[in-house]
Amino acid sequence: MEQMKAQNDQSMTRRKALTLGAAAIGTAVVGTAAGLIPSANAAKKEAAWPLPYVKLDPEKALKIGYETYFKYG
Amino acid sequence: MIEMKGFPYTQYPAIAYNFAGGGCAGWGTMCGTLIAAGAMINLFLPPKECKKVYNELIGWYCDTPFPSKGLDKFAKFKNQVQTVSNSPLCHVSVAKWCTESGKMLTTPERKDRCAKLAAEVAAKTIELLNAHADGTFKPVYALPAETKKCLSCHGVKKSANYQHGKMYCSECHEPHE
Repeated sequence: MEQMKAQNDQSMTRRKALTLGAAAIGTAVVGTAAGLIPSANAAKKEAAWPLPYVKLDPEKALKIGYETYFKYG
Repeated sequence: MIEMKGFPYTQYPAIAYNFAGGGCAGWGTMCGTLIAAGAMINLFLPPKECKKVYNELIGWYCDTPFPSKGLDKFAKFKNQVQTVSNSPLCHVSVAKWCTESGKMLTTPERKDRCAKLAAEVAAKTIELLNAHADGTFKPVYALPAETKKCLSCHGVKKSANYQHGKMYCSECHEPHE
């Protein structure tokens, strides 16, 4: 429970720290800040660059990008 | 990407671009949206392809009137004044819009304008990446005629005092014969 609370606190700190348009782009393209907190298992994997891309919806990115600017700005 | 692919995107820290706001810590240099977008493109494409797509994005940014009316359906401020920056610099882009609109840097209207711009850059980045994934990406951006003319003398190895760059020269330099 304590660990979960600490993770949540860390998550909120990161969220607050994301600022302005630059963060909005990263969030709109890669995903939500909530999904960016690493898990212990995932950290053991390795990623090959360039990373695999799957087509995304630009219309969805418009809304996410706009809202993220204010959410984390 | 997190929803569709999970790892490694679950590991990607969007906070990495915290520094880029306000043209990098408020210096007014490259618009932070373009810095983050470049990093996104660089995640997915090898160097040569990345440069082609990124060049296209920056050129589009310089020549596009912002903010688009297309975001008015969910924006706080609708039908805002549009300006073309002719530059990828935050300082130039924001200053032109503030001058034209009469709304200063700290106003909610200016923040709304930049939020729309961030959204549009994210969407355009995705459009370009989608086109690249489909094999239909074709660069259309062309260097401004003015810049071409300047670089014909000042370009790399064209004179002792050669320069590099793709921006509109007359934004900062007086023209000369």
